[in-house]
Amino acid sequence: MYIGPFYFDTKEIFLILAIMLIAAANYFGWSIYWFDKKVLLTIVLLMLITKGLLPAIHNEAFFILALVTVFLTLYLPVFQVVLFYFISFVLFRLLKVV
Amino acid sequence: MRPIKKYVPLILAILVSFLISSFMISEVFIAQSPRINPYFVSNIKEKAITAVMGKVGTFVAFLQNKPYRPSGETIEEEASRKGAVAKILEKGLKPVAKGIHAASSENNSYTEYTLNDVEWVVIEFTDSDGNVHKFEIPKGIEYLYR
Repeated sequence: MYIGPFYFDTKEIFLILAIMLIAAANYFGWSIYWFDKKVLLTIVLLMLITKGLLPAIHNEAFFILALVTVFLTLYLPVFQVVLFYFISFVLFRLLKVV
Repeated sequence: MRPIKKYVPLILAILVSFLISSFMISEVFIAQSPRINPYFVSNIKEKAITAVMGKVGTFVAFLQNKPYRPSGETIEEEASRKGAVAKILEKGLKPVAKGIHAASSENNSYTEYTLNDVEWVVIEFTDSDGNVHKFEIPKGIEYLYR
């Protein structure tokens, strides 16, 4: 789908939808079980940015990393999750996963 | 590529990055924030030295077939030192200065300091380069330091 000069694939649309929903939940005070809304919003924003920089061929690796990262937000401090996310991308590159 | 082979580097990268992030959050950064610990390098150096020296000490003791003793004293040396101290204590300690009691016997000496009672005086010492150093020493035994 084109929005202006930019092309968005379905996963990016879903990420934007997720951001809107989490932002709405944060604004209206809807509760999301176990998850911290601000942490989740930060992580999903980072995911949207990295997804935009990654070619669509690497969607599978991105999907697995995204699942693990979202799961880890339940247990780890947000800064460690952000570190984990970026180090994973560096290692993906070094190990030629992406 | 076989599916399993395809996922091995991916899982490896995720596991290794988890380990690296756990290490960094506890050692490199302060209080789970992006602020870098200025003592990171010296802390790591100290931890490595402590870990290695502990292992080396244990290994040397193992080679000598003796239990590892952090003080470096053998059991005989420690028993001899304790015996000498007991002998001195039997004779009783004499007051040397306010808050300091001491006694000696043969090659051993024993001193007890009651820090709250000690009165301190400052003496100055000039070295060969002309730098002045100030020391605090117990009052009444200044002559020992001159």
